[in-house]
Amino acid sequence: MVCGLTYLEWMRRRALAANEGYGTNLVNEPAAFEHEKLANPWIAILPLVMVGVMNKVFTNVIPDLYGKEVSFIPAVIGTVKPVVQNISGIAAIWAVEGALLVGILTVFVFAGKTVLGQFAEGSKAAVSGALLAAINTASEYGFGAVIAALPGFLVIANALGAIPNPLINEAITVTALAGITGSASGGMSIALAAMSETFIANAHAAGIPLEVFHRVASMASGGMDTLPHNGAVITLLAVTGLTHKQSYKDIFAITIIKTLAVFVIIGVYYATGIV
Amino acid sequence: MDFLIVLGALCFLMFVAYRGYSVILFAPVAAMGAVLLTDPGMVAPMFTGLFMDKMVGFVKNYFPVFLLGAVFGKVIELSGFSKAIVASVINLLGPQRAMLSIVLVCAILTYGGVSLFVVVFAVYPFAAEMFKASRIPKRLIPGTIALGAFTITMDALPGTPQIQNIIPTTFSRPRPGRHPGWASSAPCSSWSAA
Repeated sequence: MVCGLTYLEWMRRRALAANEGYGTNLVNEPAAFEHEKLANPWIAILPLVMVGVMNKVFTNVIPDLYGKEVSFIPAVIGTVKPVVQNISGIAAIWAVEGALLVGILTVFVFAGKTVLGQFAEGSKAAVSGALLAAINTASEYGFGAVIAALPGFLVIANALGAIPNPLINEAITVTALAGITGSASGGMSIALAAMSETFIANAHAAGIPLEVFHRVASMASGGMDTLPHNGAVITLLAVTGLTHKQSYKDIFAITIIKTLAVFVIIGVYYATGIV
Repeated sequence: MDFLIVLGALCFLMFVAYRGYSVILFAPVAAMGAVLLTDPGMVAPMFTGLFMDKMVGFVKNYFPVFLLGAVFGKVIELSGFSKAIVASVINLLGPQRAMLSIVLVCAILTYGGVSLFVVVFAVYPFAAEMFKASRIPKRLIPGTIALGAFTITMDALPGTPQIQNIIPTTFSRPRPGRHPGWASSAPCSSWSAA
């Protein structure tokens, strides 16, 4: 993190020295806010706090409320199957949706008048932004699923399984699969679903605690977030209205620093035995 | 040969994404191209049965999150709240600290369990105001958000409730961090974002 900040600070100084300024010809800029009086900063930060807090609250409350799964029978003519939903899979999604709703309502409570005037236009822009970002990532997701189903993918996965050191094997396998599928969580699920038995057996054989394995797997999964076709990178650029050409270099630098940190962690573990 | 096809599809997709072509158009082209070279008969079945199926599955789960996240970011911006916070942070810390404060806000939100995708929508209005006020080029915003949201809290700190940290727990047992409550309440769906 310190390296990352140092890097950004360095880029900022360089831009300042070159007198680059904020930039011109930009898209997706937030509308200029023209009002004589700004809101109290404590009120202004409240919606953001509400999202964080309510997300946590809902995550804890939803499983208690619904139990393990919920099913209902839709009221239509004819015989119908009940709709069953598995709560553990969607509790987190429901929680963040609820938290965002609370956040939005909080803004309306404190600044309803100001917002309503421009809400029609503003919400249209928000909807098209959300559509673009969601469909972008979704099509990446489809791409990852197709690639993971091809025989060539199996060749790669098996080849990676041949690396002798268990931790490095795990790190490289997860990183590579995440890179190929364009999705950190997608790649990690595939890697662990296919190889968790092997990983765990290796860990026991080498006497490495599973906690270390867990940490390495989850950190390595973000490694190839570095690549330009990653869903998160594309969303980030779509929302800010910038292009790969303008900003990808910096994202790459930041994420590569972190990927290297995985191998530092492996090194630290072997040197000291501390997780 | 099979192996080269997979790498080829991947490189093609990275290249078009980097050049700024829409991934929505080229992800299916890349995926189906790879299928065509492997087994031409499977193109249509794989397209509907796997590609579109996974794509729609993602939309089913995450589109509402993206939508609410975007609306939230928008009302924060329209209400002037983002500007108010930026003004007071700059008063407090000075304009040189703009990037640090954005990194911290991202880190706090993601560590609190807010999805990375939502963080991008919610923080962008702040970041844009803050960078403008401090005369930092806009092109540095994505890198700054990436540092705060995609790196440290996503998977490096123990106990973060982000999906990347949760998935391994369904395979390798240790609960996320030392907070027993999070393990049971956290997302266990293995099909997720990022």
